[in-house]
Amino acid sequence: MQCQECGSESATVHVKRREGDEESSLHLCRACAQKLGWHDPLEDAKFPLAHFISSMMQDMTSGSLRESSPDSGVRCAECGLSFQDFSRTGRLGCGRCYESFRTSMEELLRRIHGNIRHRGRRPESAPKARPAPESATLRQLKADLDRAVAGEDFERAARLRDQIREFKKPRRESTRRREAAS
Amino acid sequence: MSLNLKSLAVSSAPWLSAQGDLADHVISSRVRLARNLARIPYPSVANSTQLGEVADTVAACTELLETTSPGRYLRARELDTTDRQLLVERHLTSPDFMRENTDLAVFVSEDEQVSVTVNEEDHLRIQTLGSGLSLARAWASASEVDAGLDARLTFDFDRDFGYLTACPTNVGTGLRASVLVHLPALVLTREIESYLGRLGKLGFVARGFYGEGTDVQGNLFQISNQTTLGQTEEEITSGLESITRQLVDQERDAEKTLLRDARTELEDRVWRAWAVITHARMLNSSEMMNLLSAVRLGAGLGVLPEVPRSTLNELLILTQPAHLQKAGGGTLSAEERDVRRAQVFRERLGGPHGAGTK
Repeated sequence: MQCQECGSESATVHVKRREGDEESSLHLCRACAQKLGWHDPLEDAKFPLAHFISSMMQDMTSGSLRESSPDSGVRCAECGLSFQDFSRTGRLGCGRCYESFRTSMEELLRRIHGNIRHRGRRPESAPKARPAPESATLRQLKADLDRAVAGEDFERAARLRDQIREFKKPRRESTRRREAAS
Repeated sequence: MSLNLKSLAVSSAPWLSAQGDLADHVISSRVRLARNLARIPYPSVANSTQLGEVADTVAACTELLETTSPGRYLRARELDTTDRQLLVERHLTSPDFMRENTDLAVFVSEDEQVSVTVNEEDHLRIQTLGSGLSLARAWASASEVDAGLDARLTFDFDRDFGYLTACPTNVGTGLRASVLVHLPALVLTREIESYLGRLGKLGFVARGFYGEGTDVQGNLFQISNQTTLGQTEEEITSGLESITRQLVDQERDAEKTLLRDARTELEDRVWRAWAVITHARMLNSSEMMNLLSAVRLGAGLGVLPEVPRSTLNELLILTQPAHLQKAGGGTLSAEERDVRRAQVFRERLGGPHGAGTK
């Protein structure tokens, strides 16, 4: 059966519509079905991660994170995978994809893992880990706080305590979001 | 002796031996590391030349993989569906190995403690498997295999993100640690859901018998870490170990509660299961899993006379469909398998009346 929309591809999506007592059916190819907004609910069930990613991408492109989502038109220079393909399947094409979609990957990994910095084993040949800037700053703040308390400068200590609290916040927030999504 | 699939189908594996910590509830512990070769696209995108290159590269490492235990490198194209399913049933590779992809391959060590699946979702999936709660040991041997391969191959690695994988949920350590744990009393007392819900908040997840996307059968839960990035391998495995200990404690409490508040009902359930499993002439797979769970519970609580746990573990695997077919020497219909399955149970567990073939 041919697609009723484009007439060239074969129809693989079959939609039954009921308006009052009238029942009509539509037979479409995959591409046209997608264009017209018909969507297979099982597809999300098969790829829960893909669903998670695409809803996250929607968040990013419609919300305040719009500026930080420059990857929507990007293709990986190495394997040619488009960012759209990735948000549909949830699978990357090659190691270079992580570089090609870096900004989005950072946000995505933060939401999945609550973290974007590997702390485990490294291959022999791999460059040494960069010192985590957050933890260095945090250490500094804590040291300052200790000094302020020791010197009984409580006004400064209170300020530092707030800064430390502020510093720890985004991470906790991303963990919460991850729970909400799972 | 080299690894032979036909003899695998009728023999046990060390990870079924019910040795090790908490082996009354924890059947097995597993560590899996996802690794990819640099500069080659991931299997879902790579062409068949590239996939062949990956399969050959790992094949050339077979000797290196054999330093801890001798083994065999099996290419999917040389295996029929039953052989591939046999490897899945033995937990030596994932259900993805059934996919039509002739470039899939797997190295399996003879002791079945180490396996490396090639060209599944990632180029390499290194897996180590052990009996009981033995995550530290599983990580140690996975780490040894990984280090050996690392000396020969260049893995895809990002300075910040760590090991890169086809799916972003595996990035970082690439490590998925899991335990297969039997929690019948928590299921009977309906407490299981609240415990599993809590697992999620702690970064762990419960899945079915064969991992992601499979059903829970026979009250066996596969618990694993949900996140792979930001913690060290030791933190992940020791976290899962402590969660597992807590779960088993809760299970034991629930078992005590059952013995105290519903002893007769519990004994009835266990003895009925024993009666059926040792006398039935046909057993389907899901019925078998449920009966075996009740028998395991009864044996653990001393309701039944002693049944070796290793026998129960073995039966769990040896009566899976591909095992029965491979052992029976040909394709069996579902009904023939049910007959054969019941026969295996009577032979292994049955008394004078059970063992008869009539």
